[in-house]
Amino acid sequence: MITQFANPLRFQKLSRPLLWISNIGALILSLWGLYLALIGSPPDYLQSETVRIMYIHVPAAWLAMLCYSSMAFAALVFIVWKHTLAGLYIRAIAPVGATFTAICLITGSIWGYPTWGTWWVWDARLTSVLILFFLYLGVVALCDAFENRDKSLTAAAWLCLIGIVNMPIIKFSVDWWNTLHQPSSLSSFSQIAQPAIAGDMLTPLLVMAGAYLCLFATLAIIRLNNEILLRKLENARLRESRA
Amino acid sequence: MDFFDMNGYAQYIWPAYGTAITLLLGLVVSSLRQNRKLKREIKALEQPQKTA
Repeated sequence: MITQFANPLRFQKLSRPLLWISNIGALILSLWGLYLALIGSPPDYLQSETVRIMYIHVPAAWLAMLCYSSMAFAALVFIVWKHTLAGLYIRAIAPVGATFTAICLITGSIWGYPTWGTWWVWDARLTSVLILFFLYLGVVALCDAFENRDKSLTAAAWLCLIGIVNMPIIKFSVDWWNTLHQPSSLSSFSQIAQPAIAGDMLTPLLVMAGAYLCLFATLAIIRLNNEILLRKLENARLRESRA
Repeated sequence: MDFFDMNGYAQYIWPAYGTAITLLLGLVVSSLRQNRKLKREIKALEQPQKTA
């Protein structure tokens, strides 16, 4: 299945029905999620209405990490097997990850001011997520750093792999250090059965996470197709200039 | 009007939601635009070869 997808032409064909599913999923889940987050859920007894920011902040953080993990996996595949599609995936997904990280940082900051009394503190969680944002920007920059495309992608792939050390730091920063950022309410799958948050707040969070996930799939498919098209265009131009 | 006021937290909640929606929609729109542009350029490049 994976190797079938790994062929660019086959990916273009197989991605079409998948794109429909992710489009419909993104549309329905985001409308449902927005309704639950803004209207259908109660204010928190401690955070009042600002708890509503959590429904777009926490899933953004999850997606930021998911994007990075998938990108680092693609980087490994690209470096070890020199697989073109894996390299293109890095270039396609880095801006998506950067966007989710930016949303996480900005919404967190807006939430922090009324709740903590400050827009920003240099605590371990916030700093490690900021580093994640800079890693994404670095990958985006490296993807176009050299004249030779494969050389650029290889450099970007190495940065992805090195940056993976930041992932466990983000995940466990709230446990390892005494941060201002509160510990996770949903730190593992076993906790989903008995979460540290109430059900009427868990539902909008998970629906919104589903909406983000579908949107991520939509963006990944469109942008990966764009990378394939760009490659095709460049090769065609190269042939033309030689002819 | 209570909904838009968000019990006095409107100045935090709406910018947060606005930022998230703007950034994500912007990325979708720019990706779709790029897709259309690339397809158009490829078509333009293939056309003269066929007529020649």
